[in-house]
Amino acid sequence: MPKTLRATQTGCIIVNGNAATAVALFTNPMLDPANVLFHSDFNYYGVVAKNLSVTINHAAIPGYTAMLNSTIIQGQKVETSYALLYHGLGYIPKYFVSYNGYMLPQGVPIQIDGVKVRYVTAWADASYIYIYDAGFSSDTALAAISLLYKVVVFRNSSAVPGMPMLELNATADRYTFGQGKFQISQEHMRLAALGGDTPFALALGKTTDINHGGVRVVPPGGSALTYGPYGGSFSGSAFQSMTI
Amino acid sequence: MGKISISSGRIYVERAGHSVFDTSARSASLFPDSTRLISSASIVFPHLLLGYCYRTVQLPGDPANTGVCWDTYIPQEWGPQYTDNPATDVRNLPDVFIGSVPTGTDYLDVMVNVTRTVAPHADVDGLPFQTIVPSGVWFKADGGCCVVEHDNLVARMFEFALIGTNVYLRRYQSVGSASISFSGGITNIGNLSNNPGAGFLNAVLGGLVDIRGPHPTGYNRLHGGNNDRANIHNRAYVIPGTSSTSGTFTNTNNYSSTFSCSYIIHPGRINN
Repeated sequence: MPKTLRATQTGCIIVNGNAATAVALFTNPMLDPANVLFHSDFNYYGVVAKNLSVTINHAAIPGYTAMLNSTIIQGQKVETSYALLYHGLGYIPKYFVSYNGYMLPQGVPIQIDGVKVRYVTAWADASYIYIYDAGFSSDTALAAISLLYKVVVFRNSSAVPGMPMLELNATADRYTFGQGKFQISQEHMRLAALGGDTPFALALGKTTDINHGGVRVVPPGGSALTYGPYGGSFSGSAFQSMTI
Repeated sequence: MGKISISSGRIYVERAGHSVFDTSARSASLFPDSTRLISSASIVFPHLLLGYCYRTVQLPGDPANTGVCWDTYIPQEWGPQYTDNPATDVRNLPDVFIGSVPTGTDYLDVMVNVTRTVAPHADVDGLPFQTIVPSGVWFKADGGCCVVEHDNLVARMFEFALIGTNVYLRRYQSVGSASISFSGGITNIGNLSNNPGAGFLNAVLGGLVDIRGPHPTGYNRLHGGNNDRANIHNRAYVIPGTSSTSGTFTNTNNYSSTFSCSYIIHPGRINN
C-alpha cells in the first residue's frame, strides 16, 4: 500500500493510499481514520518529561485503637501525596505511570497485609505528577514500603504557533509535521511491536471490578491485585502495550 | 542528527539511529479535540439494603438493659448487569448516557476529577465509608473506571464505558458478608433470619441507630460472655452484653453517596 504525505498551510496528513485518498481525508479524516497515519487535527503522545526510575518511600501507617459507643475501633486512614516528577508545563497533562513492570491504574491496592492495605493513584497538577497514597492500618501499623515507579508526561496536543505544517530540514536537523504535533526532537509513545515488552499500555476496557465487598484490579499487562472477599471472576480487559 | 526516508510504501524518520516515526509501525492517535466529551456528572450511589442487630448494655448513669442498636448492611450487589431480584438482594443500576464518539474509536483516554459532595452516614467506626482516590484533583482513569469508596466490606465504583460509539456512565456497589464473628463462646448469636446459634452475623455491622432506645423486635442480639468480642473484619469489634429489651424505633441513617465528577473523555484509535 503506498503512503502519501500532503501538506498545505492549513493542514498536514499522511495516509495509507494514494493522492486521491490524501485529498479526500485531508479535510475530514474521520471518514476513514483507519487509513490516517498522521493528521494535524489528531493528537499524539509526545513526551515532554520522563523519569524511568523514581523511588518513593511510602511511610508507615501507625496502628490505632479507640473506643466508640462500646465498640473498639481499630485502624486508621492516612492520606499522603508524594511528588513523582516535576514537569512545569503550566497545565494538567496526560501521563503514564507504571510500577513493577505494568501500568498503574487508579485505586490500586499496592500493599496488602491482612486487613491492612495501601491504595495508590497517580494524579497531576500544572507542575507535578504525584502519587496519592491512602493507607489503612489496623491495631498494628502498616509497614513502610519503598516502591519504584516509571513516569512519562505528554505535552498537550495543540499545535505550536509559528511552527510550519511541514518542515523537512536536514541542515537544521528539524523534521516537523502538523505545526509541531510530531517533532523529531520529541519522543513519541507508540504501540509496542509485541505486547508485554514495555510497562506502559493503553487499557481498552475497565481495569477494576467489585464484588461481595471486595475489589480486584487487573493492571494492563499485570497480575490481579485483590483486596477483601472478592467473589467475582474479573480477569482484566484487553490492552495495547506502548513504548517510547 | 535526524534522517527522513520517503519511499514508496513507507515514510520513516529516525534520530540517532532510533525510529521516532514510521508509517510501517503501528500507532495510537487521539481524535480531534472537537470529538472530546468534556463535562461533569453527579454520580449518585443509592442507599443500602439494611438489617439490624443490637446488644444491651448498662451505660454509666443508665438503668439496666438499655440498648445499643446498629443497622447492618446485608450482602448485596448493584450494577447495570443485574435485574432487580429481592430474593437475592441484587439491584439494577441503569446506565446513564454521556455522549457519542466517532466511528472507529478503539479506546477512551479518560481524565477525571472527583469530589464526594454527599457522604454516607457514619459507619460503625464513626466515620463515613472511606474514599480511596484523591479528592478535587485530576487523575487518569485507566479503562475509564474508578473505585471511589471501599470500607467495611462496602465498595462503590463508576465506569465510563464505551459501547459501540456511545459512552455510558455505569455505577456499581457491592456489600460483602460474614464479617462479624465471635472469638469466644457464642451462646445466642443469630444471622439475619434470626437463627439462634449461628456463629456469625451474615452481614456487615453498620452505623449506630440508637444508643439508649429500644432495639427492633425480631432482630439479632449480639450476645456472649463477658470476654466475648464481635470482630468486624479485625478493625473494630463490639463487646456483647447479656440481655435485651425490645421495642420500636426509627432509623434515619442513610448510606447513599454522591460524587461530583468532572471528566475529559478523549476518544482514540489504535491503527494496527
